[in-house]
Amino acid sequence: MINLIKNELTKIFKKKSIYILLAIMLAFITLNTFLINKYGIETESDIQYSEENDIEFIKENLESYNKENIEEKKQYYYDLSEIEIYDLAKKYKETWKSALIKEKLSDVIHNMNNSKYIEKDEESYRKYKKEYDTFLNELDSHDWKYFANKEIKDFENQIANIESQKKDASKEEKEEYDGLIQILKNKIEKVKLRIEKNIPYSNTYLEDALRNYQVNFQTYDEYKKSVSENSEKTTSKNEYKIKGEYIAQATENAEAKYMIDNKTNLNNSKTVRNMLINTVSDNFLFIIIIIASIAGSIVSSEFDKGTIKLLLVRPYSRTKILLSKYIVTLFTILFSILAALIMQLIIGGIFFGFDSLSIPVVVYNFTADKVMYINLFKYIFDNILAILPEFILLATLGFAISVITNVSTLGVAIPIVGSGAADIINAFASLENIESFKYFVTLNWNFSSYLYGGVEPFCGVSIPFSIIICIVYFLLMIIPTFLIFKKRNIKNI
Amino acid sequence: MSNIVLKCENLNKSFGKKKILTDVSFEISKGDILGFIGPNGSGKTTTIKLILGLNSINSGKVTINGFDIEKDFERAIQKVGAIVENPDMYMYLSGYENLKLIAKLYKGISKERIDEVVKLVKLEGRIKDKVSKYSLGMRQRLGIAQALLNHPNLLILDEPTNGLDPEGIKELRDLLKSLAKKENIAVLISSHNLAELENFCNKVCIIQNGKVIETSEVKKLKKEIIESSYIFEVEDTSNINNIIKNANVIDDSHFIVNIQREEIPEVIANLVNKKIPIYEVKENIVSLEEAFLNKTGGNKID
Repeated sequence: MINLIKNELTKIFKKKSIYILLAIMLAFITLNTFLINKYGIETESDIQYSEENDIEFIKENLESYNKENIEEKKQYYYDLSEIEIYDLAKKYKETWKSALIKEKLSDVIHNMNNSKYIEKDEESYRKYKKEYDTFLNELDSHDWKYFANKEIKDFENQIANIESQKKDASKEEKEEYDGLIQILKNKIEKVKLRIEKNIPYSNTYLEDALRNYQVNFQTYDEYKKSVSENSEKTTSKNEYKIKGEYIAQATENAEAKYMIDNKTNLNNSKTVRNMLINTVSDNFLFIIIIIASIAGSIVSSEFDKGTIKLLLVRPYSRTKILLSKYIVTLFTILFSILAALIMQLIIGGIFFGFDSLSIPVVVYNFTADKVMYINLFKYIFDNILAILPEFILLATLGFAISVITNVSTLGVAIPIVGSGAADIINAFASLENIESFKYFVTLNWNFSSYLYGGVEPFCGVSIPFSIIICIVYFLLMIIPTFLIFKKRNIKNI
Repeated sequence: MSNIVLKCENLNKSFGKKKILTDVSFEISKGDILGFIGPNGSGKTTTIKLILGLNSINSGKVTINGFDIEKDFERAIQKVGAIVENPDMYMYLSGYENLKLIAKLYKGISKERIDEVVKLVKLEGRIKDKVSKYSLGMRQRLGIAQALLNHPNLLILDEPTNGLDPEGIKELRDLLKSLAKKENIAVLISSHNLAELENFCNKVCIIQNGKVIETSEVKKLKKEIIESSYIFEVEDTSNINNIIKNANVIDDSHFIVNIQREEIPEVIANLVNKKIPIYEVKENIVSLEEAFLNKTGGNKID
């Protein structure tokens, strides 16, 4: 039996076709890495602050405004203010100063120009101008922590203000005030965190993390409540979606916290780490093509070439011969996934270096309501394991079709088409949320959403349910395959 | 233990409604070379597939070395070497790699054994080449090599002379003869051409429309169906029928007469008596196939 398996491997790896497929995959991975290296983003700010082009565009457009028209005139001065903010920020070498100008001074500049040119209101112009000058003076004479402390003071004043208003407010208003106070308190916490972690104002990923981070992140119950107030009611049918959204947000918050604490950018797509996390999904089509090309032809090609007779007159039962071919098919799943990962590891490492491999993956464990830090390789391993049923079932589909119909092209094509069709079915099912779709294997064969205390990917399914569905589909394909192969007459070729 | 290696008993096989084989029975003993003869479509290959377990048997029984092919496949097939239809090998592998793959499926086949069979079929020079570069004859030889790898005591060759040149056929004949003699192998060799096999088979089994119509030893068959006859060349054959009974006049100067060797002097004496000059007397050599055709009433085998 071992020798049968070894022989099957020899036959596959002596063929040119597998190397051609691997070469195509390597080329794709290299191209993908190259494109990420060229156009990929390191932070969200890369998008938000790709201002240079915008400003160029605005400048080009300035001439075209008709200043007689009041709306266009407003737009004209708005654009002028934007240019002014941009130029002013550019004058400062320290990034925190430029960042602060964009963050704090842009409103003042807009108001200043508005009062001067549109409203023609001298008084308010002077007021804004004074504010503007003070800010720039402070910017010259203080460090960023001064502004941070100023922010805190500002928030505290606002709180004091609200407190005084609260005294003679009605009960309902009081609740509203309490909410506002809580928001302000959280803002103070964040500024304190900035000072504590020594994060100057900037436009880096740290600024993004700090902006996105929520100090007292809401619990799931609070989230559920706010969702049902705002839009749809939570039902047992759509709760999995709400849970999923909550997990996504909680994970983002946990990532932001991790980035602030460790001054490490988790969202940088230009790292071998982030490329590895996405390797299987990015190369899904290639992996499926390799698997299908073997699963769909490993039996039928022997019939096509007539070599099956050579194999069946050996002292092995047909069941053993077919089983060895099936085992090799399963092996190619692991082989193609590993090949993709290793290629990506090497190519990514060459482009971006290997340092990022030590950064863990931050996940939010819903069941235990805690944040977990998973070693990158364990995370990738767990995810492959979770998606393995999908690959196994697709490979078994190709294998079964190839044995039953004896047509290699069908055996190869159907799993590839099937994986695409599965996406469409799944998208449709989750859009329409029809519970009876849960008996479809495509909604059950990917277990990755259960990982690390996650939740079900569709209404009405659970881990045991999904396992049973997968096994039922598996048996429906594999039992006829073995029975038919055992009884088959080897026709003249 | 008996000498019988392969025993087929009343094999029946149909594909759908079409009956392919009807009660096919024969057996082969150690050292026998059985020629399995029949026209295309007569059921030769189907019979071979039943013997090798490639097709299921509707009714009847195949026993190889005492093991039932259907009930005890792995043990029955253990000491069988076979080529079925074409010598299909993995084209993208070299001849040697093909043999290595097959060697792995049996216990204890050494590298030396592979080299030995390669030498036996005279493929040493090209064995490292890809099979896709082989001629049909070379593939046929590789097919024979793979069939011999596992020291079979039953060798089943389906139309092995296809693609072989006369030299190759002669070599195959010598090889099979020596294997049958030295290693006491039983050989089943099929062909649609009786003439090709009669020289080295010691038994023939003739199949037509799925039925065995003759099973016999070649010598016996020859004796049974070939009547010895002699051709006489004389001055004039016009009056021969009055002188010699059963003379078959061919032309003005030749006639054939069905007699045994001992009777020749008598015929000559008769002719001399009548003063008919005799120039030549020679044996009329008839092939097994011709004789067989005569017997079956001109029903052509091929």
